[in-house]
Amino acid sequence: MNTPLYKKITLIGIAFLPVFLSSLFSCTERIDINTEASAPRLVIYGSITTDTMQHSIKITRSGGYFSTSKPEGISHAAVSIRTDKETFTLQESSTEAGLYQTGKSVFGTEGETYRLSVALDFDEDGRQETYEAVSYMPGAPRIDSIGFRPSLLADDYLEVAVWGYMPEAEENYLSFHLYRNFEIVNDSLQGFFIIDDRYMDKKEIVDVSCFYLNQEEEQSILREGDIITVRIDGITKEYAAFIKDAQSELWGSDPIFSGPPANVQTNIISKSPSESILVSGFFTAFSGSKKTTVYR
Amino acid sequence: MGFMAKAGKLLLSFFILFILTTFTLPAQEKKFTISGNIKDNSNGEDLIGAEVTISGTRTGTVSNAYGFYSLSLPGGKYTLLFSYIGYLKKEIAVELTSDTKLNIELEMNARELKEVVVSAEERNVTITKAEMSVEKLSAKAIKAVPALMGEVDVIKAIQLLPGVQATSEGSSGFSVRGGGYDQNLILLDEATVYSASHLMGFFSVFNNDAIKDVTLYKGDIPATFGGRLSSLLDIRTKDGNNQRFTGTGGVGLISSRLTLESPLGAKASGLISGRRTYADVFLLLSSDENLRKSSLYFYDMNAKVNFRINDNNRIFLAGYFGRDNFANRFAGMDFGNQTVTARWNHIFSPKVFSNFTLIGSFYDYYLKSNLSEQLNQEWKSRMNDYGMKADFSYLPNPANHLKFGYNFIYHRFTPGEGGGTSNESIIGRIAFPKEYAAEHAVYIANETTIADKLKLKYGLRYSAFQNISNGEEQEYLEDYSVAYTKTCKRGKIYKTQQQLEPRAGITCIISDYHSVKASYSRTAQYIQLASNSASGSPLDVWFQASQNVKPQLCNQFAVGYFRNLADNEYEASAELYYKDMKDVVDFKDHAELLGNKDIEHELRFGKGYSYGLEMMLRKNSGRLNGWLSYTLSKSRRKIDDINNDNWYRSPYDKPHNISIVANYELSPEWIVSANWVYASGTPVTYPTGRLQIENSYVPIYSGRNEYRYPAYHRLDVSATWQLSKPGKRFRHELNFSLYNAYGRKNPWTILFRQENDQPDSSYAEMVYLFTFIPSITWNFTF
Repeated sequence: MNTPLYKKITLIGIAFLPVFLSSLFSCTERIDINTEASAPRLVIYGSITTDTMQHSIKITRSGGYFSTSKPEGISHAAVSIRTDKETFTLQESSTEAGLYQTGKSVFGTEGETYRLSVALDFDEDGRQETYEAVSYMPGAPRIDSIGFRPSLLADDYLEVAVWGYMPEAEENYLSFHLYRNFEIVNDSLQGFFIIDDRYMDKKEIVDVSCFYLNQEEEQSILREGDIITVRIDGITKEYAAFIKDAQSELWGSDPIFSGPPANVQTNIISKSPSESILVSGFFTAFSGSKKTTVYR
Repeated sequence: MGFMAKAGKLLLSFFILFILTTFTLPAQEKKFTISGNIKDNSNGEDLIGAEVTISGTRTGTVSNAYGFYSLSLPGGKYTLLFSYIGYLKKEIAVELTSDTKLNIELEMNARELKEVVVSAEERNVTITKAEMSVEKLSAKAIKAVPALMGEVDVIKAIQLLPGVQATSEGSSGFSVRGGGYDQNLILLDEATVYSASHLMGFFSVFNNDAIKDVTLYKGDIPATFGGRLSSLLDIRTKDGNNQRFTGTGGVGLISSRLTLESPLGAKASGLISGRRTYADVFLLLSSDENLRKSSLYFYDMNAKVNFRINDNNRIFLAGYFGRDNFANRFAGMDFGNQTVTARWNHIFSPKVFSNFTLIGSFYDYYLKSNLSEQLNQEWKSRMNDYGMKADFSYLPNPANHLKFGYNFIYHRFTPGEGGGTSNESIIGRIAFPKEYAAEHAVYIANETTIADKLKLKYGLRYSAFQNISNGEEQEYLEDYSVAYTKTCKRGKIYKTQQQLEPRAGITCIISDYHSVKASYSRTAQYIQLASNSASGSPLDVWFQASQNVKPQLCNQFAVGYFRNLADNEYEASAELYYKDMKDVVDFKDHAELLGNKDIEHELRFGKGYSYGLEMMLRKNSGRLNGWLSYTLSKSRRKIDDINNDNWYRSPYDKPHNISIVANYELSPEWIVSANWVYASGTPVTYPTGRLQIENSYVPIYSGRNEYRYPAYHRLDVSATWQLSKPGKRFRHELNFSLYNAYGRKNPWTILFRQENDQPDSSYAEMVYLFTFIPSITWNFTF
């Protein structure tokens, strides 16, 4: 098992060639771009997982692209996540506006379908709008072991590889996260590493290199005795596409290998359609498994 | 009206017109035909488009793509004038008392031998010829254009013509009158070239030393050709010198090239031409072992043999083989085109010329990774075309030229196959189903002259595309989702789509120096490129019209005014065009095209239009020559699910486009050239907002292509220094060129990033490619 074939091909083609071209000819320079700020959008983003913890949904108002402040959180929303059997009501955090959390003992269950409901008055017209999103919780993979080795691809890099098993579902989409001494290493969208098994014969995870750590950069150096945790989440196909599309928009486009830029699709549906309110973001459910080892 | 009824009506109209223009001419006495070939006397090359006229009249004809001419006249004495730009005119007195064979050899004008001659046609042909929206460039003019890294490039020269623009900085992709870069039919000796670029598009696959004739049809495409919506670029290679052994070559900074031509016995001649880059040779000097093990090159080779069996039969065999290869120790890719054509010219009678062609056209790419036995993978894609053409040309009298024929192409596409490369591999192997199709076309067209002043051109092309089952289950989509599936027996035709493509034109010759023309053409395109990038990559695959994909259609209307000045020293023209496109194919947002066997799921359909005004002033010869062109245009599209179903600018919408090309002979030793281009900025979608996801800011975009990059402009200059004395057999020269002479930073792309130290702040970063690229090339001929 490894990165699926088409991704590997993409990796070879998309990564190798632009790097080659850039090294030959390209230069960069900062420029000023004046764009008219679009109308603020409602952004709803969050998840529920199989971990027993406070699960959160963040509700914000989007800002202008060249804004220098954090997005404004939207308070006073009614937020809940429910299944056919139970409902979790989320309360707004007392320390961060727009952050809504479940209780600490909440956990999701594989195979369940979760529905997010949000009610708020985004356009401040005195009437509440309601929004919904649905996500199925796929099964979790199993991690048997973690290994480390100097990278073949680049000097000074260390590869983190894993062994284990995919869930038995026909199609699996997995997201990888790495923790060093319980601190997450890949905590940004760019750091998300997602693979799928659409073109793989086996459900076995064998020697999958999931992280490449530059041993010349302080934030990714591994030292003897470091406690290393790999977390692999079984995510939905829709969430994998959302992350992949968001990543590609972050990376930007070029005239040879990229399509035109486009807004990332959301699964948040407005139940009180208003042409003046556009909504973005994503709600998902995923199941995770972890494995911890000590780096030697 | 049903398809057959439409076809019947159009055919009936054709024949009524043909009968009216052919048989209602005044009754004439018995006619005889004078015919033959027109050649260059120094090398035996056929001269394409050479004029044959009866001295003092406008009655005449032009030689075809094989140098053949035919003129049927009443018996009597005539003085025939043979002319071709850059050559001395030849007048020959003939007395026609029977059908006569007259082969002509023209001598190159000694002065123009070294002078750049911009056009490849006789001086007032643009006024009198019954065609418009056509651009011809001579190999010398192409060579004179200052070139990127000294690599003379036919496509880069074409991009300087009105109505044509590069798809991106440095790219060999081009858009004609707002069309996509996959809507250009590129023919090399009649074989389709599917990917006309090397090195990610920065150089084209055409070696100028091997090229004899380049014609670009931006509209008014003859009925003889079809299969693409926007344009036809018809490139013919030299036949090979049949007088003596000659060579042409050059050594440049990134590549060297050599072309050899020779007679092969009394009746045959041949050409072989090769070019190869050598960046990888320099990599061997690197101290870095990884770099020493890398490969980085492209090469191409043209070969051609022609054999004259007798005056009525001639055979041509031509081939092109080109390849790019890039690899380091972990990964590699190579890709390339191969084309082969075998042609048989047969003259049935002095009035009937025919050409039969067998064609093979192939393109493939191959990717591999070289990490470990377990992880090594490969991926390849290939397309094979096998075709045949039968083209006939009948010249019943000087007033009519009838053409008819049949074209056939069998397409076999392998969209992708690959996987693990060893027994120890943990990666499976997959193969996407192969796709098969047959593309047919029959055409008939006539060009007629009425009273020397009026030329009419009318034709009809019937095209049909048949999908042939690969035995796999076929999906039938409705509203872009699978509605049902069906399986057909392997080899069975399961879908046929057909189109009638009428073509028409009228030329009104007001005087020897000005004319007015109008044309209409309908074109259909049955295969398209699976790429939604602006200029395409070698990894793009072509896909076919099918039960889910209708052929794209374009109706183009054009009118033009053509004026020659100062005794034909200057050519001026203005053309207005309007293109209406139906069933235009595009891709949904975030389409996954690479390695996707369900590409049809990613398609979206719609319509488009473009219109514009093209103006050109050209000085064809003299110490100072060149051209100035300006294009004012607009191009829009409306595609399902894109831009909220609203109209948007096409990626090639650049309202203003200016090109100035000038060559000046400073002295017998020095020729200097320059070109300056200006184009409105490329349409682009900019972020106008942002949302925060996973500690990162994801852009929220404006409407599709709502903004533009900064305007593009660039000046290139070159100087050629003749090192040899006149009259020497071995001649050589040095060419110095400077691309982007004033170092304009034209955006190739603009990226949007977050500040590392202030993650809540974003900035825009322009990526630009070429500033001040100097080069030097040594060229020689013997």
